[in-house]
Amino acid sequence: MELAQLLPSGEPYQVLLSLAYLLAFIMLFTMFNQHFQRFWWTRDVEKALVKLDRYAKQSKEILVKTVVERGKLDSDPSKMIDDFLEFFVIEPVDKDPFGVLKRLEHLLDLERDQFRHFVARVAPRADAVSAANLESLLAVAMALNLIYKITRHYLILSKRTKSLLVLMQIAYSIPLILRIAEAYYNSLDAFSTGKPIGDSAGAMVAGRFMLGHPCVEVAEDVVASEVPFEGRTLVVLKADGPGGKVGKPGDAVVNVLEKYRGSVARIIMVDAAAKLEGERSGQVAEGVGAAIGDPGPEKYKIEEEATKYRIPLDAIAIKEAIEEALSTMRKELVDGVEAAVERVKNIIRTRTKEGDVVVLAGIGNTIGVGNG
Amino acid sequence: MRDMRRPLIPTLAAASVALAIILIALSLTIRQLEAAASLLFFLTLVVASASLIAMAAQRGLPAKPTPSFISVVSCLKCDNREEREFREGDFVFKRLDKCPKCGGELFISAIYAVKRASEG
Repeated sequence: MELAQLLPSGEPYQVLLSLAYLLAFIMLFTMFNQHFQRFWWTRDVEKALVKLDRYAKQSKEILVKTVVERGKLDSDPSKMIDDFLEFFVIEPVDKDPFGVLKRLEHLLDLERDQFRHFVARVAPRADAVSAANLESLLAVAMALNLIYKITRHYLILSKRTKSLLVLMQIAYSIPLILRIAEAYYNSLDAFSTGKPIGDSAGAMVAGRFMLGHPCVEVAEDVVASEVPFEGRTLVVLKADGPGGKVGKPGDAVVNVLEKYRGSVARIIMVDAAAKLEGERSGQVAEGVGAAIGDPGPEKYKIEEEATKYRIPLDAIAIKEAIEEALSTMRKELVDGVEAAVERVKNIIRTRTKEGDVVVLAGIGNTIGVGNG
Repeated sequence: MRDMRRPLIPTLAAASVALAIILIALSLTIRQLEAAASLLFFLTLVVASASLIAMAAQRGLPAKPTPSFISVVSCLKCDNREEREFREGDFVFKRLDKCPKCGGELFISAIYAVKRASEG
């Protein structure tokens, strides 16, 4: 083949036109392709940012409306809420990990106190249940505000530095970011009206056993009931409902075990757990260990105390997606709760004997779930 | 707004198919057009239409249906169970009136969200 065959031939204007086309294509695929890519990625992030901005603004509006309704306020709390949405917690230093959980717990306690004081200030006439729900609503509004600001930060940073790397990372993370933001956004209705959410599944299992039995507070925001069950004594723990609380179940387990001085035969923990894609919502799985998704301190206390008294620790997980964990409970999860109740009964029947004391801890946010 | 976007995808698809048919007809009837050039043009048009359809599909994703909320009322003594719409102030294990069947205590045994039947 001759080289001339590869070149355009024919009339001069046809040759020129062909060369122009060739040049245009070469430029399109070599010189401008990054510009096109940048344009598409920027467009995707900007579109998502509009959505995130809407979520953040609407969450703030719902929060203000709920604060005014529940707190029976005459004045506008918007300014105070705007200021508080910028609240932050600095994580403890972990370069020297000694005592890091104690320090983390202290900071988490301080954070919770700040939330409580703020809600008491903006909604002084809200009842205890509404105040707890407002705390959760405030946390959701803060999360949506933070997601919006972080996404915006990376978009602006990528534009200022012209960094494709920064832009690519945020553009490829957008579907996951939107998924989390939508989960928070969908939880606004549940937290403003006090409906149970997917994360309340563990508390609902505990409540099923507590039904008709008196309960007492055994730790901060955690109640316990002594329930007779087929010759055994169940000590059932859950956060104090129906307000949006998680309590300190670690402290509660420690207090109960200290009270019974190690005569506890078994600890059973039930919690909602993140499902893997492809798994069925409401599926119940069983394992060992402390079934609790806290940042660390509560889990540590339970593991420490169970190890100290050599008590077997059973974990029951009710599987759900992150969107389901934060939004109003779905029928599949209610069915999962029923299945988990049966699973707990089965564990008690087969792994303990009559006369034993068994601790059953229903972990999770107890919004919309009373104390049985 | 959403309802206006939905018919856009089938309209675009129908338009691209119609254009493709016209092009094929032209390439078969007018001999002056070189076959390769017509084919290339036809392919370009199909790809362009597909891109437009994809973009339109991305814009016009159907919104999620609004759920309705159900409170399940059960009796502590008998198997009486009924479902009703969620009312403000409802929470799981809330005690209600007496059971009309056995006089036992009614309580809310579950609250959950369901898709409205009309919205699939």
